[in-house]
Amino acid sequence: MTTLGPIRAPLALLVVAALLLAACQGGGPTTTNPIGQIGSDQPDPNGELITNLGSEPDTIDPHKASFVGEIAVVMSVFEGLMTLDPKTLRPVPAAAAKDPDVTPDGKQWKFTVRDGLKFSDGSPLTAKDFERGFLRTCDPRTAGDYAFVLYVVAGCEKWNTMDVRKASAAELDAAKRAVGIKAVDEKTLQLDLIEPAAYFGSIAYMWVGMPVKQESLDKGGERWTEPATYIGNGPFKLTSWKHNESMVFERNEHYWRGPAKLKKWTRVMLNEGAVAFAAYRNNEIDTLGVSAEDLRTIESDNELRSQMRDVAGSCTYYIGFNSSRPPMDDPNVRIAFARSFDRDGYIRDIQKIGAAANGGFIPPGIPGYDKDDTAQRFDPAAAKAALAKSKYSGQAELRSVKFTYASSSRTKTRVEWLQQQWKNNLGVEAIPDPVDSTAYTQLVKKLETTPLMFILGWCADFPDQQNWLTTVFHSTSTVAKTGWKNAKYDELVRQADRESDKAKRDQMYLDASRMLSAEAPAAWLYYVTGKIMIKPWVKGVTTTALDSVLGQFRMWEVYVTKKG
Amino acid sequence: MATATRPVDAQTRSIELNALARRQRSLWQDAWLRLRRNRAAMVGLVVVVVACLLALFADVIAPHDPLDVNAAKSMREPPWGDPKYMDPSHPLGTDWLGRDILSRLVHSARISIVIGFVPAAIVFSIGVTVGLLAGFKGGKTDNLLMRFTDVIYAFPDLIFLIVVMTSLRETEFGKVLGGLPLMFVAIAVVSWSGIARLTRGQVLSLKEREFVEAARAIGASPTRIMARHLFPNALPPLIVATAFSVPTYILYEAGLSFFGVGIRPPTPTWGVMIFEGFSVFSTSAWPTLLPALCISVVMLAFTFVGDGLRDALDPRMKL
Amino acid sequence: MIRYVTRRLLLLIPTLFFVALITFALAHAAPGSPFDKNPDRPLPQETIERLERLYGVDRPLPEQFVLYIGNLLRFDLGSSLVKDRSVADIIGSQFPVSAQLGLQALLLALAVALPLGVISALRHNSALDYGSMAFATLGTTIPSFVIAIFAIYLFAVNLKLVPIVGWGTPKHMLLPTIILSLGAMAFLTRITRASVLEAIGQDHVRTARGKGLSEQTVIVVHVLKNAMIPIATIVGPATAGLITGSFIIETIFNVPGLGREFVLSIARRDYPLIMGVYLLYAFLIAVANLTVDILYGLLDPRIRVS
Repeated sequence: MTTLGPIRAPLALLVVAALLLAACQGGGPTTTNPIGQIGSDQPDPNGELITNLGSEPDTIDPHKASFVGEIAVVMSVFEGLMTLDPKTLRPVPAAAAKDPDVTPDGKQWKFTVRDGLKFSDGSPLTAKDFERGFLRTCDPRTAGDYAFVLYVVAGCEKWNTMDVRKASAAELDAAKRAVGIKAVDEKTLQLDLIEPAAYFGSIAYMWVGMPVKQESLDKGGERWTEPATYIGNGPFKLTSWKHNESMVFERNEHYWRGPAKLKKWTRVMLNEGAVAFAAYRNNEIDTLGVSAEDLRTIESDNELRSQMRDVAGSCTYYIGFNSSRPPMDDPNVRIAFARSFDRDGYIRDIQKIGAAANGGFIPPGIPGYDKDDTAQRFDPAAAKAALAKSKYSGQAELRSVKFTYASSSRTKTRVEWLQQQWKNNLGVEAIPDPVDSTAYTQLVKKLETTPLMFILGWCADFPDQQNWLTTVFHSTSTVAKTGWKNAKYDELVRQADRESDKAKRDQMYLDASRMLSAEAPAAWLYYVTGKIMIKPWVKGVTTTALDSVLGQFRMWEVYVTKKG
Repeated sequence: MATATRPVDAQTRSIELNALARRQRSLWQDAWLRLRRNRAAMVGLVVVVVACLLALFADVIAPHDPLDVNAAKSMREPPWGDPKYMDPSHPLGTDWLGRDILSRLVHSARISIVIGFVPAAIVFSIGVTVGLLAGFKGGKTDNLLMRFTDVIYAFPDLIFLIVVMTSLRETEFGKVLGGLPLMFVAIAVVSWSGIARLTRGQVLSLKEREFVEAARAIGASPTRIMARHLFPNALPPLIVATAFSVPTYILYEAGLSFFGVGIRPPTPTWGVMIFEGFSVFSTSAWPTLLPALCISVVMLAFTFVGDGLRDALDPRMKL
Repeated sequence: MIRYVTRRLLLLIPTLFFVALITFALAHAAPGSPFDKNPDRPLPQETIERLERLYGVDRPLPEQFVLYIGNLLRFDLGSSLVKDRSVADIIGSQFPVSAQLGLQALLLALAVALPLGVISALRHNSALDYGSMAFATLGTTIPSFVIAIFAIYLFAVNLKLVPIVGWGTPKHMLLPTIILSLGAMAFLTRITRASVLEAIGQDHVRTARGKGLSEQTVIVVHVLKNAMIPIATIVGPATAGLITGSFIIETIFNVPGLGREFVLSIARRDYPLIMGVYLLYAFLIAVANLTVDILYGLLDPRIRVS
């Protein structure tokens, strides 16, 4: 071909396509089909909800679950002895008939199972099923990520850390029998702890203590989590699982609170946020987790904006300091850094979806949140004063400090913003030090390699101060190696861990939390919050900071209104 | 009987013969002339040259630093977009992180050109050598080399590339120069077998020709025969194949970036820009559309050049 | 012929072995452990080591490889390290989806490309010819993911012609199938057109015309038969192209196929799944190439003799 013909045609097609698409972009068509605006508020008894689960869960075995998507499924199909009160996030009885009986020394807990409980296939539910569930979590062969929360139970840690390949069957069996989890009769489950743990009630709501039928495990074997054998006692049952595509749940007629208002709940698996957003606008899914990229489109559309809600989160991100290395071994320096950046500005300009960490370590929504903790509030004058008081004032160590982070464009923005803040408000140069993310994860695991300054986050495993103040900042912590040691703090939090009186406990943790903020082994950066979109015909949703799934703690109340 | 129209004397005759001798064109000059007449190929060539220039002078041409993140200027529109979000200092708008799109496009040309040409050169060297050896030596060498080539040929390209890039990206070698050498090597490893087979085929058919026999007769060494006689004559289809392979490599890079295993951030490439633009598509199509346009135009250009080269170098295709 | 086929089948074994070896080496060359999967909640080092021991990932690599090959020969592909299922299970539930998508795309490509190519060649230099050539050129130069992104936004979001979520009904499969077939369709159109053009110019065709056979007979009997040969050879690479294209299409259109699963498994270092899927694909492509070679042998008697 020697003429220009062959070029003209394809290029023309390209340009036309581009223009066509661009034209369709701007200001788009109606984003939602208004369904029954004058519609009733009446729950549709055959109501069906469609939500996005995200990616296919790796496992929905309650004793192996660790990701949000997995926990979401478990909490829909199973129910533990306790659940959480949506307002306070304190444990309240669920499958248990009443609050647990705890011996005066705090080391033995007895749960009484409610009368008349049934699994979704109609078979009766007893304490033995709960015993089986708890034991399964401690079983080294299950290898669940959350076994550690049960280490406070006698014998669990020993059994769980045995090497399955080397230990003999007899040894494993002996270790199992030595675990302090026993169904003393049909209705009573007894747990023996190694020390008092007032927070154990919170653990009893978690997926680690879900009951499971022996028959399910026997019949299903490795594949017991397929719908046919995945029998639970929660508000819904799993009726269909098309791998990588969708999961369908239907109301459990045998649920003790009565059948859930929703008849059917379909959860699809859309990995890409952009695709999920498109699906939401198409009314193909009824709820959506908002990503920052979608904000502009949502906020410029009245209808979309009216459907957006804020939800609390259960994570705090912080700037960690290596307290074993100069100049961060001086608390004055740490506090100076903590008080010299504007958290509100950070949210407004950089984070966009999140809440400024203008309190302590524990985020809003989690018991122990302290909004009056002012130790780290933004105050450049106070920061400079603290710096002047430090023994490194004017020394070489304060001229520049390295700020290490897992390399990504987004984190780079955050780090550079902070760098600017410290330059302006403190006069110290923080040098961004990006490292590859796999390397970063390794670095922060050992004190010797922990960087001088770094960013990390912590999310609640269960809603109790213990999970934050002790687990993360006690000097023997296995999850954060900041090199910070304070004997008074250590003693205070351990005392609180063992204290049975709720009011005393809360006060101790509060004091410890204030001490923590003042000593500043880390500077609290932001509390994770989210925004979700809910279609107007979805009602009865109660959100909490710990939701893995929509309305998790009042799932049976969610309903959709009759369409038109 | 026609009369001669010009006086034929010895001097004029010799001048004419000389002129004829000079005008006798080699295959290459002939091919070049034919290529020049092919307008599509010429336009393609111009585009390629422009792209190379952009790549070379990216630092000078780009108005901003392509890596300069500026959260306050996120998602600015180009002049034909939503006027509420326009910013004249960014002629084509900005992406989600506030980086100037025009600058990123221009700098991306660098990577794309390089990803196109360098592996092509490597593939050419390896493939031709193997093919020459196998075809010429024949026998056991041929057998061995060809078995090996066949196995490599059977490897599904992009899948293998994905596995290689994912595995080796985090190693020391993978981190050199943003992962560029790793990608060169990976692409080359996957692609050389095609050229090798082609060369071998060419050599097999040329081997029995007279000029090879003649060269052998005068005692030329095998290396000399391969280099001076076989290679130049086998060249035309190899050139065409190489020309067509360049857009394939550019596409590989884009595909790999799409799966998140391409060049390491923060280096911009068109593939990376498309991938990043996907998540903001609902707000604005331009961060995705513009790099897509760039890739398509460059690939089109190379295709036209390839087509043109094939038509020019293939004496059979007399239109 | 039989010998030729047997020889090629036997060649498959060392090929696959080599593929397995290289993939294994690569998969394990990547630093990082498959058990450190949640970056927001890094496990303590002791836990990771315990998990590695449990799954046998801590054993020396050659030992792991030998074990793997041994299992392979018993058709045991192992268990996923990340998911709670066996590799065979995952492949079994996701591969049919990809296979269906791929086959539909191939058939669609053939159904459009063959007639289009033939007609374009017959009506050489007409408007239709230029049009189809433009389409073919665009189809092979614009990256498929670009077309896919645009398609999903144009047809699903803006025009609401097809749903975004789900799989199984024709409405769901329509757009992914079309987009996936475009690349092969464009390529096949070009090849068909070129080979028909070449066949038309051949001597034996002119002879047939000279003999006075009707145009119809000429085309069908002589032109097409010879044109089929180069087309048949393309089916091999086309299959490979469809497989790799499926990764992209499945990711963008959210199709629950094996391609999408594969892409996800790589980032998570799920070695058994990576190996299993890769071997499967290598096997399929090898079979496709073999089929093509056999077809080629059948169609072109000259090959059979060599």
